[in-house]
Amino acid sequence: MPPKDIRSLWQEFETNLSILGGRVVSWTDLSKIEGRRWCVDFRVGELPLECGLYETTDPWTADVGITFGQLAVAETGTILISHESADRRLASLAPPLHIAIVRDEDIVQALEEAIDRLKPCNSVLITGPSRTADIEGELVRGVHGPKEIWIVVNRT
Amino acid sequence: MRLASTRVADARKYTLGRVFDDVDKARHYAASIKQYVLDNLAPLLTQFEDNCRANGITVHWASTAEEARKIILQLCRENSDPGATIVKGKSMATEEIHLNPTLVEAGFDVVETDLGEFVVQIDGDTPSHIVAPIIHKSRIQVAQSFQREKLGPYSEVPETLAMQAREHLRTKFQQASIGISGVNFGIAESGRIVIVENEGNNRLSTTTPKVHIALMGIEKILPRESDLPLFLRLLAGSATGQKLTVYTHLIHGPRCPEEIDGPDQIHLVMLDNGRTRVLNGPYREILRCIRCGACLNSCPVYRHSSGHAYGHVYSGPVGAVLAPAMEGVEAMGELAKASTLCGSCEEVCPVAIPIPAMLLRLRNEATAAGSTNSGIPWQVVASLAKNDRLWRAALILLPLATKLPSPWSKVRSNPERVGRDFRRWFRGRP
Amino acid sequence: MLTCLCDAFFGEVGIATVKVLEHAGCKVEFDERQTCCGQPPFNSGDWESARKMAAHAIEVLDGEHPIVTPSGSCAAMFREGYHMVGGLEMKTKVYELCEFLHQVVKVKEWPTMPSPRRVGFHRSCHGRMLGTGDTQERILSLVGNLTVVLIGDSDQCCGFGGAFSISHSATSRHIGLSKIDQLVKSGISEVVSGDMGCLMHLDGLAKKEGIPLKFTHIAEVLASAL
Repeated sequence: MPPKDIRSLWQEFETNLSILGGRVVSWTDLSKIEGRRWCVDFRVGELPLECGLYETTDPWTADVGITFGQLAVAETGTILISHESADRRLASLAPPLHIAIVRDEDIVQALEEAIDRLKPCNSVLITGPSRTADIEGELVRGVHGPKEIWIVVNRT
Repeated sequence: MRLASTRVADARKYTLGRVFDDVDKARHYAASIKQYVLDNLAPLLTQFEDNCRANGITVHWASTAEEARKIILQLCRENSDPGATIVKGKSMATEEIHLNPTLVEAGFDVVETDLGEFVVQIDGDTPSHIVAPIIHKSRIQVAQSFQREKLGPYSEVPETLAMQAREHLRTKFQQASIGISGVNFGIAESGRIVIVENEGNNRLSTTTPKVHIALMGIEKILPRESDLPLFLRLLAGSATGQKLTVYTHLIHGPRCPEEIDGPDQIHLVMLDNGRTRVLNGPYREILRCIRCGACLNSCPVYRHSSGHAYGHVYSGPVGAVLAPAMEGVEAMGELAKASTLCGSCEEVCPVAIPIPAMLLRLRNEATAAGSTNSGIPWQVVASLAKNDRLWRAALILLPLATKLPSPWSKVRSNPERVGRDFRRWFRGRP
Repeated sequence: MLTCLCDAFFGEVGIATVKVLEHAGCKVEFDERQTCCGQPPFNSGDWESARKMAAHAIEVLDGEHPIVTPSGSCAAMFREGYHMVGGLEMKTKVYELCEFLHQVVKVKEWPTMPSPRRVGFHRSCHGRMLGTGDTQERILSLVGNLTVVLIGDSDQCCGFGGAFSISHSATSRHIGLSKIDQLVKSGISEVVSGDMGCLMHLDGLAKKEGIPLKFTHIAEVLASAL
């Protein structure tokens, strides 16, 4: 795929995710998070992340959960997370901020393409932060799942 | 409550119009897939079960609500200590079988974790809408309930209330031995269980406890994984006017040894409870229903009454067909009369269920069974109608008859003859 | 087809219908033997009685000429209801009045009202289900000096529903009053629709509540321009 297409897909992705209250951030944004506890998927621990976070293995007390995303879906601002091997599912669920790292080339336009690439393991499609409108139809974010979701596009 | 329904109905129209080039085409295609499932249910269920088993999911079959309760109770007893905490995600199927009282009686601490269902539970109430359980409650009512349950300082701000619930429920998620959920779609070709939600409580309920019990109506099958995108879009768009729900779980099986968290066991309870009977009868199309609630939001009768008025776990247009279809017209046939047959439900249904036609059929079935009475002697009217002279005589008397008090005249003034008589006028022309 | 409601109460609507059709160039016949299409018992669930009435209607009306009726619900009964009840074959097509004027006669113009008139429009549910879209509004738009106001929810049910108006009269009233409320708020004093069932129900509610709204059938509006 020529780089130009990927850029416009990420543009579309960012637009759709922002409407829902999510953000696409850069590596430098990550390094600005100081003094907060983070909890990660096992494999993420292998990445050379330079940031002011210190590690915890308890997702319930962590401020940030960092995971990988298998791919991003531009059409809806969705990411697909596949829980393979030693993944920690709660990292994307319990902490109030979820950061998902997705490789630059792992983006598709349509939901169909994402479903096509499903792996035979537990997976989840995440479209924005947790929300409810149960009380008088007023929107509240972060009821049970994360209140914020950030996507880091990994361009190596 | 009427305003809330209207708002969601508008959101539905807006979103679906943007997501699909041709909403009707999408609906009818979805209808054909669901119809295919109903026409091939037995082999698809076999395929689904085989795949689930291969993925490590234990499959149980329950023909009745009672059987389902027994199975689930047994599973809970076998896998936890007395008085253990059970966390529940929102599931119409579990409401249908009245599961909670059974578990509570057995001494379990059953906790509804969907915010709306949580409020319903602490109030000892029942949900009034398939998708929005407390659409009938105000923030003040919720605030008072939370204060009563000592969940935090009194506040009427929805965000504050939601955070109080969050804190309270987080403890429960961590304590729970068992998590119970429903199922939105079961994919036959892969044995995957799909659950959609916006809050994240279903994810938590089915991740932290050691055992996950999923209750699924047998009609909730989709043939292939590639059918999912269409249904995910239609469900989210029709239910809440969203492009997609926040979370779509694509559950494959219990956790593998290397996984850090996730349930050790998944038990899938397949629920019949009258569905096979409906499948073999004249109302089978109602089983296409994906529980989006769009019909409720568009129904003038639902908007002007409320879910509780239907007296059944399934309310609104879908309930008006499903209840009598599952439980018989003798028991629930009156619900079929609670409709003006305006057709909005059929127009918005993402799987094009012909609800008005089925309501008419139910009315006929109830009449033929003698279990309902419209109060008007139609057989007499029919005999009069065969002879126009008798008919005319009766019509002349009709305006007199309307002078008598009737359900009509209680709320409306009676129609009166205005102006000329048509027949006389027509006859008198040159 | 006159319809039983017009036969019993609203002769003027029948008369207006004939005048409208004749103005459009049609020769109108009326078979005196007709009574009712069978919709009321069908709606209530007594399909046996509906079948008897329908059989008579077919015997009287089925023939070589198209049948026109000032009622979307009667037309729907002939076209859809008979099919559902089963055992009823009707070869001739039954048209709702505006549908006929638009599709068959292809009316392109209409005379002007003697004086300017402003009306609100309510589309009956059966009218919607016939799949004729905005035919009624189109025909009305041909009338000079007539302003037709579409209230935001002109597609929403009025709450009549046939048997429903009696079996669930409280909810029926609720729905109807909500519609009347909208109409009043739009500053309308007269409402036009193509079905006497809706009009009779809304008129009855308005009168009971003392709300001065006038309810007119489309045929009468068209005829008043002649």
